[in-house]
Amino acid sequence: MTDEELIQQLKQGNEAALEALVFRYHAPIRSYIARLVRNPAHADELTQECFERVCRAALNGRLPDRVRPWMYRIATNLCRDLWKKSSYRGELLAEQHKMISYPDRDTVTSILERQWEREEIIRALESLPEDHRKIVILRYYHDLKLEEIAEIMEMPLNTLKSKLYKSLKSLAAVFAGKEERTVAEKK
Amino acid sequence: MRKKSSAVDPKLHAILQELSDEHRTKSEADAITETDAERLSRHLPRYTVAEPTLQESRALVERIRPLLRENRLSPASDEEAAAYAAPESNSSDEPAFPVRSIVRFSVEPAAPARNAHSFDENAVSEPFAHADASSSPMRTKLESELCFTSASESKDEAQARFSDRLREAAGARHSAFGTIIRYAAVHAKSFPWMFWGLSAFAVFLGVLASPVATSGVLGGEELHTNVLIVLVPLLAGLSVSYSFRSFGTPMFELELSFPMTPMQWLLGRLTVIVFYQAGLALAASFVLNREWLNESLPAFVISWLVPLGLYCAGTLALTLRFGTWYGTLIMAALWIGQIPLQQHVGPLYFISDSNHPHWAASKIIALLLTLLLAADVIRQFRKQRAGQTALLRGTER
Repeated sequence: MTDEELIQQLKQGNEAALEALVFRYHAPIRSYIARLVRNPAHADELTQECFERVCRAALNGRLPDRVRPWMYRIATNLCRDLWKKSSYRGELLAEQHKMISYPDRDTVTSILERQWEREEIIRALESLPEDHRKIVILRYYHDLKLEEIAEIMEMPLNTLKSKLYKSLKSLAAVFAGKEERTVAEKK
Repeated sequence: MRKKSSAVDPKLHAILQELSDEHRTKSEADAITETDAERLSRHLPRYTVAEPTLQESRALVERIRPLLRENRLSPASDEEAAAYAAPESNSSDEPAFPVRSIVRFSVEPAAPARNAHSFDENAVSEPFAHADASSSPMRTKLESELCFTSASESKDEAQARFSDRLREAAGARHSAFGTIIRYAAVHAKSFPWMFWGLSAFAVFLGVLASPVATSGVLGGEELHTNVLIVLVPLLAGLSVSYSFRSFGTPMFELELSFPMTPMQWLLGRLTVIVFYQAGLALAASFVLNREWLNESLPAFVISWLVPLGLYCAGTLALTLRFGTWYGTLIMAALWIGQIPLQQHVGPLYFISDSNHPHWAASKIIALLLTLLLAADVIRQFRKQRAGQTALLRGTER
């Protein structure tokens, strides 16, 4: 059964369709939001809000042509709303400070190193403009098609491709700089 | 990026293929080189996020369900409507939203629910109770949806989520023996090939040397021992020293931060060492028993098994008290000293064979000492768990 058929069922109030939709999309949508907002509590709240909006829209008869990009767009908009809140910006700054203040010593296992590398990637992604970051996350981590991302981001496909290419190049440059610094420190 | 390198993540390679037009239009400096792609492949996959468990998904369904059951709907705001970007629907032709609608239409038979076992039937089948028998095709199809999650999007999604498998594994009940084997299996992976290979090689050499050296003579006195009886406990003790070498270092502190108690950690490693060394020695005993043993097989097994236990417990107890190096050296010295002093130590000659006059007494004493040392090890670990002793050497106050 396709997502679109499920939404049709949801529109008619079929609870099984709601379950199917949640079981199908809870993990990807929550992961997407978590990558954007980097706060598990916010991610859970926004994920629930996203599904509630989907439900309301379906019950109101607002059925999309394609469900997946539509759901991701709702999630994206919810994140954007959160970013606009001043309280969230304060939390984000505190979080960034916490990451930066991580001690660079006591690296006793690869586990810790991996954790730090993960934070490096987060920082590298943070260095990208907002829409570039979303494009990379949607394409690389969530395997969305370029056409779907173009629909979510409301931009022409060629522009999207260009932005994705630039983002990947920028990320590679950031990682290269990091690797060079690590080599220099070891010397 | 025209050519795929083995070091490039397949997913990234696919993306770069999609962007090949962009690549052609870029100058050399702006293009993504193969090195860039490899660098991205090394870093990007490491940004993982925890996925929700099925229980969390079920909880989410339960939180949203009332929304569906409410038959009064507030129209979405303009802002929300813009976000939905949904096309106009034929809602005007639709009947009013039924709370418990029964769907009737024909669909093809659903695929068998391969992963149905990963679901709690009760937790997901409740809404189907609203449908009558005539809605069974739909019910079957949606049930299969719930078991497969999304067949159309990703086959991986159909698998039970990793987070759930982790939870199930943690919550599973095992017998005491099964639990110990589980711990041991985890630790067995952390032992290097050197441990497995060198132990087996040493025992093999011991078997070869046994016919020549059995009941050897030192200074005109018969030794009343066997190469294997000397060798196996020594190997076990050295293995203990090797596997517990992290004790007193930051690595030990990190190991204790894993979801495994110190006692589980200890039990897992000791089990691997004792079982492996005892297995090797047992196999060697059977080989020697064919021709070269001058005592019964059970007595010979006891002759090396009891000292094996004693040496393991002793090394561990001394390691916990004095650190790895001192523990190993003290135990090795005590062990080696027994051979030249065997005439003087009497029943404390623990590596004797059954022909020795104090054989039985020495084994009983060794067994009692093993129990005492094991109790001391447990006490030491409990103290550390309670935070009464420092985990890291040099951090004592």
